[in-house]
Amino acid sequence: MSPDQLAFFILSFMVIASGLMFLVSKNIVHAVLYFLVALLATAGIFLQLKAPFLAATQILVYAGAITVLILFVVMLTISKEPEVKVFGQTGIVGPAIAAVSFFAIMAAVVSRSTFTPLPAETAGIDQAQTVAQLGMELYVEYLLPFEIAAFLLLIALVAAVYIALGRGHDAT
Amino acid sequence: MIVEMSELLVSVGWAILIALILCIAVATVAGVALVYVERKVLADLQIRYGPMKVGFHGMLQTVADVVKLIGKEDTVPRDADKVLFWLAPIMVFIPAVLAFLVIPINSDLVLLDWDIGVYWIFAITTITPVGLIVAGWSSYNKYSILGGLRSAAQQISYEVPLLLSVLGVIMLSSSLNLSDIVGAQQATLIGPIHSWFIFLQPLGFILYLIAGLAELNRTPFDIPEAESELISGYSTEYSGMKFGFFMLSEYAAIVVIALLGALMFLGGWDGPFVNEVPLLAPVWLLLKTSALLYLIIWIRGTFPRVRIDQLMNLGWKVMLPLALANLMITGLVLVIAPRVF
Repeated sequence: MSPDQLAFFILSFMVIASGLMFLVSKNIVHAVLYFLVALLATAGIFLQLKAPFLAATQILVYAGAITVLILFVVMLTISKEPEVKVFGQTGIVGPAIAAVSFFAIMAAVVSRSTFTPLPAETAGIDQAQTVAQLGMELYVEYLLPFEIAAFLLLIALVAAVYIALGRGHDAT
Repeated sequence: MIVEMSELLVSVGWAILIALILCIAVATVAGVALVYVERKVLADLQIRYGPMKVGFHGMLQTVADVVKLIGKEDTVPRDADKVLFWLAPIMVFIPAVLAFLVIPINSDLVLLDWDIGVYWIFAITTITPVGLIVAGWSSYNKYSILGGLRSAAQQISYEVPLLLSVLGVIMLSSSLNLSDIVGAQQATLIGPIHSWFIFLQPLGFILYLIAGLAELNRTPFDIPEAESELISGYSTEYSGMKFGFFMLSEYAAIVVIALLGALMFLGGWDGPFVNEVPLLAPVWLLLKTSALLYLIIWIRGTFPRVRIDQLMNLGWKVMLPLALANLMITGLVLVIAPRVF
């Protein structure tokens, strides 16, 4: 086993283990922090795949912003005891259907992919020098999808502001 | 196979370990030194001496303080979440340390020559507010929770103008790598003046400084700590070296923001005679960083604290539009007259 593989197994174990702990943890703040560990370990896997930009984005957007937002909501909504029952609140049927169907979709996708190893030329890529290439791909090759995604986010942003303003501000 | 693997692990492990130890050493020394400098400068601004007893002009005062903090009893509130209470200072300290990984000292001395340089610093430091919230929450103290939440709100709000203010610089130098950004500032602007980005991006620099102060929870934006209303906010229940870690990370973060400002806006190690005497490069960088640090301390000694609603209004209604305008103007100029730069 090469150090690369060893690091991959350690990181994958961290993702899966903290993901499980996220599910079974009864304390919601602990759950969020397990989620944070899973996100950081995913960033580690991105680093291993020679994608430092993606890793940094993962840390910035998910580990930083999203985790803080979740914690914020938790702090503002749960006033007394942070312990909540994750299971048994909505019954078992709905979540079970959701879980099984998601598993079926993922299984279908995974079984169809052929897992081709990375082409040989990627082995020569210098991990430190990928940003310019990524920029070219994103802003030249795939400009339209990029712009559509940006527009979608803008719509979400405007909608969020509208909802936050509430009914009293309809006139303005 | 096991021998081979362990050899590889050892060599890779050593590199990582040495880099981390260097980062921790730099962050610690810079933090401890800055605490002393801040006390002296503040004392000077208030026409008093500051620490004078320990060492020459009190130079060993902060070292003595660190020893005191290590020796202090480490109290934990009875209802605290023990594990998280213990983890929070580390969660705050690690990002501040890791930021030093990509900061270059001169054109070829940097621990990690990454293309994503600046981006890495801003990405890794977003974890800090999580640590602050966790510190506040695990203390089981209403002041601490309020302080933690305020800090999170503040840091999220000011990350946006901070990143946008830096984007202009990144567009002009078309690189995220800090060495390249410094290199892009060595062209001649007018006469002996080099094209430092403070001249090309004056608005960007001002926005960077203000957003940086808010990001650091420094006066006039030290609302999360607010001694008079929140009894130091998230760090109320902390004592001993755990509190020391909060202090240390705070001051290390100040050094990072000042270093980044010097590298991105003040030409980094660019200065007179730097091409003739390469050893001058770190000196110029240090001088520029010190000037920014002095400015930050000066502001602390001068301005009163803003209110939280003023802070939010300033961030979202003034700084964000200004940063966006700055970005658009930079983009327009780059499209219309790309030859100028």
